[in-house]
Amino acid sequence: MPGALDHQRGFTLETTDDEQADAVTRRTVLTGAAAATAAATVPAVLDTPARAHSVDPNSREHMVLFVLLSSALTGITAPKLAPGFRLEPRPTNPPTVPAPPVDLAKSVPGSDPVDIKREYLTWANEKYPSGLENLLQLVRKNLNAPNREQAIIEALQFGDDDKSKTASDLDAKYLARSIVLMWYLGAWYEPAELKALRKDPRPVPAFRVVSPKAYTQAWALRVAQAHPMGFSEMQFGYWTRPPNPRADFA
Amino acid sequence: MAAEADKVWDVAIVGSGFAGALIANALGKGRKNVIVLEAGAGIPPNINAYMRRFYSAFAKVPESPYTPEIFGPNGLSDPSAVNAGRPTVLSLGPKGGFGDWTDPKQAYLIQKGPRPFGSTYDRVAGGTSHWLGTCLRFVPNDFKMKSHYGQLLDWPIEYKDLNSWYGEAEAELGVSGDADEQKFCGVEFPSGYTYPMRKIPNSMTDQYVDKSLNSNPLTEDETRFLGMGTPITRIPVRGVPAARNSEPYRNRRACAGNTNCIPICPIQAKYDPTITLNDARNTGFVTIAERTVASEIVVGENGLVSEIRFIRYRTDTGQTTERGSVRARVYVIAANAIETPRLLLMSKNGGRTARGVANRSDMVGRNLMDHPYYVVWGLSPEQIYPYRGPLITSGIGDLCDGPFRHERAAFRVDIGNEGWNFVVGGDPNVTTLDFVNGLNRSGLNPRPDSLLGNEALFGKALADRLNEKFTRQFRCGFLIEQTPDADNRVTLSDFKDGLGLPRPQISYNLSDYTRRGFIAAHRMKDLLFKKMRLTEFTRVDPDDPTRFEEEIDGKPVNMNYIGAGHIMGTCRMGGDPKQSVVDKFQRSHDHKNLYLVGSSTFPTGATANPTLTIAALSLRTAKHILDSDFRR
Repeated sequence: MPGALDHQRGFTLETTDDEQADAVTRRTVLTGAAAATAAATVPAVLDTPARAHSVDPNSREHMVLFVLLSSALTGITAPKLAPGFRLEPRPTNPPTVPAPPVDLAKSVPGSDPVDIKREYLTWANEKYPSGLENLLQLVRKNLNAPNREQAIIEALQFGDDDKSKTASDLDAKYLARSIVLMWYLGAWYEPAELKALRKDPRPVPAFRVVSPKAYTQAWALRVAQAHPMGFSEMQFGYWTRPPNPRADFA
Repeated sequence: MAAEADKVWDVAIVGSGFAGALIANALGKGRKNVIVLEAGAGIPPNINAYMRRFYSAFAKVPESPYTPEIFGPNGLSDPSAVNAGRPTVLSLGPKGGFGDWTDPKQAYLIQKGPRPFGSTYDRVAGGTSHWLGTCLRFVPNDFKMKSHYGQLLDWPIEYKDLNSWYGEAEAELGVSGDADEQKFCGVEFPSGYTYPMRKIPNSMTDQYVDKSLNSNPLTEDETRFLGMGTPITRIPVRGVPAARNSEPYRNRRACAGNTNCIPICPIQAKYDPTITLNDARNTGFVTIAERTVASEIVVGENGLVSEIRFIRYRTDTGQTTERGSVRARVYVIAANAIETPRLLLMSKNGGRTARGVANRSDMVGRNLMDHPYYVVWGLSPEQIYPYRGPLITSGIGDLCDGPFRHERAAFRVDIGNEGWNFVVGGDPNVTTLDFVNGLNRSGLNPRPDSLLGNEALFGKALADRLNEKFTRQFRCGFLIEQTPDADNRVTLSDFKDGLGLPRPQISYNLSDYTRRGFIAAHRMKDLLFKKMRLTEFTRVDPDDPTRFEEEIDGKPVNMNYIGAGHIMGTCRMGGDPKQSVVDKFQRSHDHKNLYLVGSSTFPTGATANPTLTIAALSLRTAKHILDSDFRR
């Protein structure tokens, strides 16, 4: 089901038609830009830009897209990032050829009580609503691509001096990196600072721990078959034997 | 606390760290009325607030879970506004930069150099929640450096005087260890002795070090530099006894390997003095006065301490709420080896003790020691799975005593289980950022002729790369014995804290004997890394204020050190009142009802972490107080 707010604005993001999706994106980005301009003239506490955009942390579809984006960029499977995550229709055995298109409306973004994905989606959406929308649109565009993860990565992996890319593409790349770092470290590095560090890598990068919960959910040391320091879910003596296989962690 | 003004306590204790807590508890059990003055905040009902502060902290330094706040609105908190300040490792930065170690606006300690004193401390329960838990005994020759090696000086007591007290301390703190494994360098245990709990098992990293060093016998040529006297062909890797539960002990859980002993164990599987303080309060005889800063020890005409004045505050930077004093029959100063001499030196009694209390010898504040900690790191050829288990489970202790001590300082080797967590400025963040954003702060992502990194990755390639790097990170450290030098010294600064009391001023340097210990440590690092087939990544920043250069085998080598958190030696114990501050029971030579306890009384620092020896001496002093000061 599309989010209620989408209906109120008279459009939805659920389409899988590329052309139509692009049109929607352009339109909503423009809406956002106008809203941002308007917001500049009113107190920031009104938080107008985030509301003016179409990404809604309460929308199941948007959350599914965010988890798919995060999984592609982090290399960690979606059900690990968001326990209970499930795309519909489910794969059959033997697989159906050709694979049926993903049904976003029926897919499940996850059901874990920790629900760190909601904190991250909300965080990114409040800070960079239009950039996040572009990234989710990228996922939507590649939703049924034969190799969705690779397609998403390729769209974001280019040099800063690549003339074929727009400023918006460059912003999307650094926002994507910030989102990856958020999942891996539970910390927020500003995209602009990441970009600046690529010009001058000497300053010590600043970051902010998103929340105590985010710290405990960080993936960097889980991909190292360990745990965030100060948050072990293992038992006495585990350290004296090799860890379980990587697949058990990430 | 109006009652405090009228009451004469049996014992007044300043400080609630290991020494203060253990003595308070022992005296409380002996039915003595005890008041403990604690400069910091009180013991919280649980550690949830500490954990929240730690998880949220941008810089997860040892002080991060605790108060007062490290950061103010414009960077580090200004120590002149903080009522009970403390040093932080963040204020050991290069001159002119963030955390400039010489800047009184950023650094609580007024450091006069020539080198920075690297160790820090906290306030609540002496800040001792942030210790590692290591509970090594000193080895017998540590007490006899002068008579055995012609260096440093002897203690007025020997290992055999402390043997049973070490056992008492191991029971109180709850130490996990294997007595047979700990019999090295002359360490003995009473017949049939066992530690309270079985040892903490070795990590994968420990096992790799042991296998690399000892699969084949070492040659005489390889180990000659150690100066062990007789050739050695084996360098054992031994478990480190620790006050960390290997099984449930005294209502606390077994360690779950959170890899976070410092700054804080999230499940209190590691002992800290709040446990003993709660026991002490439960005796019904011990009162703890929090946010109560001792400001002067008052000495009467008869030479006995008559009261201790204090200043009380309610918030970390708020106004003073009360001034008062406590009176007792016996006084115990258990602040630490910087705050104890500071209090003694502040106590001038209108000029009657112009050099400070307990300081006729002029030795108060002198001989400040640490274990300057030389840290090295590299990448292992195979996966050794760090970031798992307690921060340290094993080390190399057998090289801490031998004929080489005639010539150079001893060292002990710590094997880290936390990868490059603190050596590259905060992993896993640094390495992760390198591979996400194409940087090379870790050194693991080099690009020729560029400060930038080689790879910026997304997806599975990123996860693979991080797994490959993190699981091979290795670091170890050398705790080097430091000579007691009279000019390494705590004095009073003209700079004040939030209560208007003078802040500690520190002069600190490394002697030639100590630096020769560094050189041997550097050679040991070369041997270890060669055997482990490590690629070394150790680096010393050019502007690191602890950096120094030594010529080793004809080549200049940059080395540096960090503080071990082992602050020792400023109220030396000894038999001669002209050369020492306290006697062998830690009683002031000058004032018979005054005891100074903690590692401030250590004549020498050896290479073992000081806590177990602090605890053993404290329990021994508590018994002495009960037996001699309260004897009918």
